[in-house]
Amino acid sequence: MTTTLVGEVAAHGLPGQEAPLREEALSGSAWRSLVRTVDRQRLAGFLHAAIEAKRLPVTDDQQREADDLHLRWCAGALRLDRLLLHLAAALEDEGIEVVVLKGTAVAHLAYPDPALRSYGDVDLLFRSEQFDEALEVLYGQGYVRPAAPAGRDFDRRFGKGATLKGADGHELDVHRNLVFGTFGYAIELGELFASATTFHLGGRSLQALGPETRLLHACYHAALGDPDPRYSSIRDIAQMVATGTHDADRLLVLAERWQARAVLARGFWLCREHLGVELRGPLPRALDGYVPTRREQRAIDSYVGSNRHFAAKVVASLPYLDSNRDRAAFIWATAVPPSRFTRSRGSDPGVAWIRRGFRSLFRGHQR
Amino acid sequence: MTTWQRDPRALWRRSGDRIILAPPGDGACVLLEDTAAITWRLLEVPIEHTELVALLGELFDADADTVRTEVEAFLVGLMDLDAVVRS
Repeated sequence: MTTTLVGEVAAHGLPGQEAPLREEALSGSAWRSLVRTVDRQRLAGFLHAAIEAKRLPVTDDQQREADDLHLRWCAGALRLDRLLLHLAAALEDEGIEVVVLKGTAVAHLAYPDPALRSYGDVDLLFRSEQFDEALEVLYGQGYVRPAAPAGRDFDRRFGKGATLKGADGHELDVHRNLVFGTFGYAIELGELFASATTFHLGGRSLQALGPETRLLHACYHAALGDPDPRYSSIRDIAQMVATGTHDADRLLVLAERWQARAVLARGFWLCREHLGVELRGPLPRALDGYVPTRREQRAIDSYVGSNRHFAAKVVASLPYLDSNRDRAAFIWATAVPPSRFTRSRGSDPGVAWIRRGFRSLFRGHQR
Repeated sequence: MTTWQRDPRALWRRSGDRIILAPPGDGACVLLEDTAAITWRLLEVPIEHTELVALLGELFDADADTVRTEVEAFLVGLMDLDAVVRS
């Protein structure tokens, strides 16, 4: 029951979502289960708003608990916004261009009130040619990179980015691409900067992805990021499709060029499955009944299928690389990575790692 | 004539009737409740002190002198935090 209710809470505020979610306040155990899930799924803002809109009856104690939960997430978001402003200033001082991704940007640009969208980290996108420099600036701000890179050249040519850790243990995700491997190699990275838009935070102008690339990124993240994506990530897709300022034709052209139609289709499917909402408009219509090609399905499976090891992503990525030269460099960098790199990803260094890659290739072709 | 407005560097969120405010810098967040939260919301656009006092007096059915003193102290406190600007 809670799973269904969580989906309904996550869909609160979307067009057509006005009916009461329940007639009576939940029992103690059902409420506790809901609150735990809401917290984990970063839905405190939607729960709070659904209660405020009288769609979900609550007892006085439950109201206080929902208020406190929301306040805690709001305080966390403010701390992250402050951190973002500080880092943006430090990067700008060094002439490094930065685009704010995911929760922070989406909360401020896609929702009528940023308090609806809870987020727990900061995600920044850099130009490939400035990626190393950006890391140096962030190291100067006290960050460290716990997982060793596969190599500088790998970072710049093939990597998605890195997770850094601050002195107090908080994480900062730095990106040079929106997704690692496969679909990521079809993305025109320059377009992410060329079509960027601005939003204002704390008296400062910051860059975020434009409406079309932001919606595409939400789909990449929800469709490929995790087999069981967060409801908040799925809600972002529904929110942007329903209320976004994107140009559907332009977005479909980008999706075609970036070979991402299957990713969009999966993103829309997740909205139906998890939020119980049927998305409307030209975008969902254009992808209604979309059947992924074998190559697309293999690529998607390498992220969210049962065989989603790093090596499977490597194998599935090869058709997405432009030239044999790129494929050779990619295979070289990933087939014999430094042992520090494979250990940081929980793999066995050396031969065992290569064997795993071949096994994944074999499984891929059996399907 | 005194006009008050929010400092654009101040970050904040609304949670129900409460406002959580992060003033510029590294200081602690501040929780605004009741009249403090309503006053913050009235600062959505720059507002003259006399108008603010009159509005709050009406809302809370309180005499102007009491409201004036309370509002002044509250706003000066926010100014010390760099959360509002007086012009």
